[in-house]
Amino acid sequence: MKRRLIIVQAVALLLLALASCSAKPEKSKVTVFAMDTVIYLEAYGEGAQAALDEAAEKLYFLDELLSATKEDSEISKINKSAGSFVPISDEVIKQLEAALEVSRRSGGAFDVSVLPLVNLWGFGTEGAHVPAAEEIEAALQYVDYGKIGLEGSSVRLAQGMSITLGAIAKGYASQELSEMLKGRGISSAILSLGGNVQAIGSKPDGLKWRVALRDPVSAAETAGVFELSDMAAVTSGGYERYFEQDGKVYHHILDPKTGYPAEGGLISVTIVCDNGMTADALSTALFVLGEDKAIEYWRDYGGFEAVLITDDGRMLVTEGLRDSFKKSGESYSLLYVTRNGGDKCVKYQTGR
Amino acid sequence: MRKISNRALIIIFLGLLAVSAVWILIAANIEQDELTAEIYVDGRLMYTLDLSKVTEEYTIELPHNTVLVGEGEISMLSADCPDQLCVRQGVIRNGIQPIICLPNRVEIRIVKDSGIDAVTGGRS
Amino acid sequence: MSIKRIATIAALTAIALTIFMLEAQIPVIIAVPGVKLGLSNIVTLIAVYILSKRDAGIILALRIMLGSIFAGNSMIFLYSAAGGLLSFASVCLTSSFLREKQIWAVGVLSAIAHNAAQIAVAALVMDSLALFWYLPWLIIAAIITGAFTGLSAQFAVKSLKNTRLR
Repeated sequence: MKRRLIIVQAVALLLLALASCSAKPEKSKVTVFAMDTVIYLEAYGEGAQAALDEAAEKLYFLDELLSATKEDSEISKINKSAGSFVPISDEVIKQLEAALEVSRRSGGAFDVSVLPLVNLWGFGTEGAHVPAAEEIEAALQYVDYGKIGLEGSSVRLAQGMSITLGAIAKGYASQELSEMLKGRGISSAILSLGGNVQAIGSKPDGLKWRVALRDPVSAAETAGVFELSDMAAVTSGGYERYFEQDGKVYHHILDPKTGYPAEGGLISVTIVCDNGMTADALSTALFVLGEDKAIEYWRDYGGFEAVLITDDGRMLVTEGLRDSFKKSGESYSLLYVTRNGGDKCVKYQTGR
Repeated sequence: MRKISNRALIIIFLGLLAVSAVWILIAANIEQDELTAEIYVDGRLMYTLDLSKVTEEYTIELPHNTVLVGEGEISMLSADCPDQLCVRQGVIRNGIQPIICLPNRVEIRIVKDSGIDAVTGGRS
Repeated sequence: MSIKRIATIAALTAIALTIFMLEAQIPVIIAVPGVKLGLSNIVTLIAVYILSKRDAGIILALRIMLGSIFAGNSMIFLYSAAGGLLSFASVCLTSSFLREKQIWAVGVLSAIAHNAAQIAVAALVMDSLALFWYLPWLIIAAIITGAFTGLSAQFAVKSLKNTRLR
C-alpha cells in the first residue's frame, strides 16, 4: 500500500513537472519605422502576428495623420487654416482634449502650440541655433493653449498659431495599439515607440515586464528597472535632443512661457501610468514644471507615478513605485516622495 | 562486479574530453544580439548595462576591481586579487560563461532576453 | 593498529602535506577558480591501495585540516574539504571495481568529482548558478591532472608491491 502511494506521488510530480515545462508560447515581433523613430512591437499567443501586422498598419496611418512636418497631415491642415474652424478626426480630438487638460492643470507648462518656437530653434535640423531674444518674444505671442478653440469636432487656432502633437502622439499611439491588441485577444505584449514603452498584461510566464530606465548621463547604462504589468512608462529628457552653442547646451524641451529650454533642475522624468497618452504628456509637462512643481502636481492630481532625476544627482521616486522600481548602480541617491508633504515642504524618505 | 577494460576507460575519458572541448569552442563563440550585462558585487546587483548600445569603451570602478565595457563585450580590466584569473579570462561576448572574481565576490554576467524587455528614455 | 601502520600513515600524511604546500606555490594556467594540479591526491590513492580506505581517509582529513591551517584560510578549508570529500567518496566507490592496472582511471574520476564539488561550493558561496558553465573547463583539467596523479599512484603502488609496505 505504501509503495503504491509513493509511485502515485512520483507520477503526479512527474506530470506536474512536464506540464510546467510545456511549450513556450510563440513570440511575434514587428519593427516599424514611423513617427520619427524606431518602433518595436512584441506580442505572444495565437494570432499575435496578424494582430501586430494590423498594428503596424495603424502606426503608418497615424504617422500620416498626425505628423506636423508632413504636408498632407491633418495637423498641417489645421495649422494652415489658423483663424478658421477645421473639422478634425476623433484621433486628433482625443489628443487635443487630453493635451488641453494637462495644459490647464500644469499652468501652461505643457502646450501643444509651441510649434512656432520649436521651428525657430530648429532642434534636430542642421540649422539648430539659439534665436535672438526678439525672435523668441515674437514667437511667444503665438504660443497660448488658451487660444485653441475646440468645439464639437472642429478646432480653430488663432491667427499665426500652429500646433504639434509631438509630445503626446507616441503615447496616444501606444495607448490605441494597446486597446486594439487587447480587443484582438492579446494578453501579453510589449510596445516600444522610441522611448515610450507600454506593456500589455505580463510576460507569458506570468512575470512582469522588466523595463529599464536609461541613465540620462551615460547612454549605455541603466539607472533603474521597472517591473510592469498593464502599464506605460514614458521618459522625457533633455539629453534626447540638444545642440551646443558657445559652450552651452540647449535641449529640446522648451518652456512655453519663456521660450527657452526648460530649467527646472531635472534631467530626466519618467511617468508610469496605465494610459500611454497621459504618460507621454505628463513626462513633458513635469520636466518643464521642475522638481517642486512636478511633485506638487503629483500630489494634487495623482493617477500616475514618477521617477525624477535631478541635475544634482538625486533620483526622486514617488512612493507608489516602491515595489515596482529598483535603482541600478551608484550614480544617484534615491529618495522616495511621499503623499503627505504639507504645503511647500516636500517630505522625503531615503531609499536604499 | 563486471570488469571494465582499460581500453574502454580510455575511450570514455577521451570522449568526455572531446565533448568538453567542443562545448567550450561553441560557448566562446556564440554571438548574442541582446546583450545586457549585469555586475554583481557580494551577490547584489550593482549595474545593468546594455552592451549592444555601447559606441565607445569605458570603465566602471568597483572597490577592488575595474570593469572595461566595450562594444558588445565586457571584461575585467584589473583586480587586486592574488590569482588574477578574472583578468586573464579576457573578454566575454555572450551569456554562457561569466567572469568571476572569487576573492572579491564580483560576478559579471551577460544576461539573455530574460533580463530587460524594453528601455524607456531616449531614442532607441 | 600496528606500529607499522601508524608509522606509514604518519609518513604519508607528511608527504601529502608537503606536496600540498609546495603545490600552492605553483601558479595555475587555466582562468577558472579552483583549478589546481591536485598532486597530493597521489598520496591518497596510494594509501587506499597499500593501507585501507579508512587509513586513506584519515590521511586525507589530516592533510586538509593541517594544510588549511598552515597555508590557507577558512575559504581554502571549505573548498579543500568539499573537494576532498567528494573525490574520496568517488575513490571508495571506484576502487571496488577497477583493477590495480586502472588506478589511473580512479585518479581521473576522483579529480572530476573533486572539481565538481568545488564548483558547487563556489556556486553556493557566490549565490549564483552561472558558475556551472565552467564545467567543461574543469572536466578537461580533471581528466588531464587526474590521469597524471592516477598514473603516478599506479606506478608507486606497483613498485611498493615488492617491499614490506604491502
